Amino acid sequence: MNQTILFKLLGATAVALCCSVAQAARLEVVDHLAAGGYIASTIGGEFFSDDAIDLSAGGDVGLIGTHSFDAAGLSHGYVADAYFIGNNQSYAMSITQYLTAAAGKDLLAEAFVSVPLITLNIASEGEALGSPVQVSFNGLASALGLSSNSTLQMDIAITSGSTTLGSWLWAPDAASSPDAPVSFSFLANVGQQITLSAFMHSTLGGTGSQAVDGSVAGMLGGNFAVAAVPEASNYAMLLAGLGILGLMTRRRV
Amino acid sequence: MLAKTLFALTLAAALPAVSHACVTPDTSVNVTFGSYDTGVSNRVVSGACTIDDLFNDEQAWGSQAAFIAHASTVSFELYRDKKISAVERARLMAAAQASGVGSTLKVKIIGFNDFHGYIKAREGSSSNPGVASFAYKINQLRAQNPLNAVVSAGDLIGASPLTSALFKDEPTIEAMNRIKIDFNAVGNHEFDEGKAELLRMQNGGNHPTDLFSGKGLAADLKNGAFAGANFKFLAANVVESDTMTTIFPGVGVKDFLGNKVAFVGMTLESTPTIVSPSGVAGLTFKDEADTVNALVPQLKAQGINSIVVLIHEGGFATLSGGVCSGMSGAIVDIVNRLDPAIDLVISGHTHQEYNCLINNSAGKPVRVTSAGQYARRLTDIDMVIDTKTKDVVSITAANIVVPVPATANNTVPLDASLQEVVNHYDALAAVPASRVVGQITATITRTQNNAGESALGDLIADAQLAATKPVGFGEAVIAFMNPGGIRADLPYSAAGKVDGNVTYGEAFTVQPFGNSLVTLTLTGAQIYALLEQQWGSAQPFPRMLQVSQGFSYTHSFPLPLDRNLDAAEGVIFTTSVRGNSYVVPGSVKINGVAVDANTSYRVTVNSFLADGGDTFTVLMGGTNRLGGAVDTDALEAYFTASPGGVAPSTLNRITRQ
Repeated sequence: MNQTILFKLLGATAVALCCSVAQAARLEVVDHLAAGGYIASTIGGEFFSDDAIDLSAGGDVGLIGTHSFDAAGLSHGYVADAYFIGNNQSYAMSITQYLTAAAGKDLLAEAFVSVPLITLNIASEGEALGSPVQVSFNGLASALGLSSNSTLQMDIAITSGSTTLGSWLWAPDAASSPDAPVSFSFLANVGQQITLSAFMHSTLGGTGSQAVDGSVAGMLGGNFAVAAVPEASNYAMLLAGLGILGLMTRRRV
Repeated sequence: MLAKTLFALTLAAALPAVSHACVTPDTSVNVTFGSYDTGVSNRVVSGACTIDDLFNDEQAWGSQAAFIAHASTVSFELYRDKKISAVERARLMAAAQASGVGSTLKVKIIGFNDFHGYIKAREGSSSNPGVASFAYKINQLRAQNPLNAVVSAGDLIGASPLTSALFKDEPTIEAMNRIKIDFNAVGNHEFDEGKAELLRMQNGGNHPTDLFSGKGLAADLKNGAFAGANFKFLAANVVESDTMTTIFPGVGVKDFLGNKVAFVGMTLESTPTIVSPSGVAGLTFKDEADTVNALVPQLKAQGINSIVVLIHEGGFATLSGGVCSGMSGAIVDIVNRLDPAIDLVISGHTHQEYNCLINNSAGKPVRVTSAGQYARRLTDIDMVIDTKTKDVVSITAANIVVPVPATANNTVPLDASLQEVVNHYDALAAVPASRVVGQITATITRTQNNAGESALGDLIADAQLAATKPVGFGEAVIAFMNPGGIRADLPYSAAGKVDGNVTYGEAFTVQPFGNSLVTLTLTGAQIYALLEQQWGSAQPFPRMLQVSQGFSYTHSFPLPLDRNLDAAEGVIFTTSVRGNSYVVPGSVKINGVAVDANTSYRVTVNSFLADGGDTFTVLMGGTNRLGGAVDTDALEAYFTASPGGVAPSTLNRITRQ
């Protein structure tokens, strides 16, 4: 990773830290749908599958699927999970898939997490209902172990009705940097309901002609911050104040 | 490396800290989550830290999802750093789910009641620890669990000793602000000075006329005036009679990592019968159980299933081997009628210490606690919440002692910040405490003669009768005073005053409880029964009620009354003496006229006795109750009406056969 990207990332993190302190409102889970799992099959007709379990409770959404399939000459499995944790306003999801196959075993496996919707209410923390706020998401995505045998893609989006307020999509390949900053922000109102949707999918396969021992993994994690947006009149006052300061500076010169 | 730091920094912003110092690394063979063995071998992976060290499975998590999200982050980072394999990550995540870590959350509730402004150690009684020792103990308990709430079940203020009372109880509010308590349910004494004054306790601002208001330390004031309480007063069952809206919120909610606990605060429905009518004018006090039960659906609709009741009403526990084996008193009926959604009842009012179980309306036992009085005890309650159902799954409670600091060479730890408040007001109180409120011609003591009568008891009973005798003030013909409520003698001579003067501080020291007077109607038969309760079967030792002028009777109690019983006499008392009748039939007279069993008499007692205090339960049957003045005010008025000075009485009201 070069220095420029690093500084950008650090900046994004600093913004996240800064703005999580000055929360004007917070996101509360109203409803959710989530699914995830694993499907694998061999040419020989063996079939493997596993479904993720929804552990959501109260203000937290939690989905986790994990399973290991171990047999002579073929060992494979996965972790696929997704979370929205109300207490620290975070969203994260990850996949890790692995495969160890002896020569002659041809397996294609895919893992996924799909969160088609987490309905979030922008709940007041002192701000009046209807007040404008800026909602931002800052975090990091990682892609590890990509090769010609594997694929990975992920996205996260916030919508309101049919309008996309913010989104981020990544389909890395073996040549991609393992890390990418995730950052978007948008304007909304206190009391408004928005929808978070996210998706992560990976595939990992063996060639069949030779032994395979590999893995692929992805993660996307970060946190939301909701900051008050000053009223237009406040902006005007700010600009006027800056103008006066500017005049004073000029007169001193 | 930089990328890793960055990743950790980003995650630190999103998730609870994953960094560890690992001063004492966990060296278990396999990584464990809680007590669950993940099957992944534990080894050093970062500095001195082992894999096990990096997972915060010991800390509190608001949900299972929150812990697994943490495990996901940490395991992904370990995988990314090639410290664990993909297979191991899968095993760790499967174990994180199977371990159940995060499925329950332990919350500590620290309860107390009937604090009554006892901020200064030993004021009123050498058993009172003061607020500095109290705060130290609270913070010790808090240190055990950062997820905690400190709550009071009423009578936080009112009936308080000089150091708080003189300053309109503002010192107590400021002390509680410094402790950062969460909620105080109103008790009857919160209404001693009326609604407006109570609202001022919450909202701040100086008292409109009292010059001793707003005298706090600068750090405790707001805009130079009394700041009011930073914690919330709760009063679910106290409503304005005209609008039927509550004067304070009924419910306070505290959120523990997304798990909400509701505290419903209430005072006893019969508050108007023990508070001066002016204190509760325009207010209606509703049934306690009905009030809570009506709130339950509203709370459930908000996703709140952990519900604690803070109620200023209580009972008396029967102990067996130090463990509660039964309860009596008003709290029993209230809890018997409570919705099963109520998980815990923190009670008060009876000044008792107990930790009992009482059945709710579904016949299931509910934990009911009370922490005595005057900061002497705290109830340490651990509540386990199911983070999925958000309901309480278990509760353990224990009453713990708050130690009393020694007067010299003290070793009891004190909270310096609270001691600062106490010292400030103690110094300010020195001058007003010396205000002369009356004169006496000789020392008047609480020492009883062998019939059980004391000169100071006579004086207090006479003052109480005088205050409640006039038409409209009770029309009392008798006053009874409990001997335990007389805390000191009135000395003729003392340092810092002219001989014969009685200072405000001295009067306060004699009657520090600030009880208000209650006039009620008893039949002659009840008066006989009341006198027999002085040595009744529930008394731990004989308690001789002090009586007003004009009232007289003779008894044949067989043990000494002019001193405490020795151990052998104590055994005789409890095994064969108490519970028998010793009042001579026909000897009970008012102004020489025999008391008739079927005639009604107006009787004045203090609010403590009126509630059946000191096991004088006959008084609970008194009817047509009327609240009156605070006891020290009655005493001061009596002195004012005796400008020549009060002489010790001739001890001729109670006689021994």
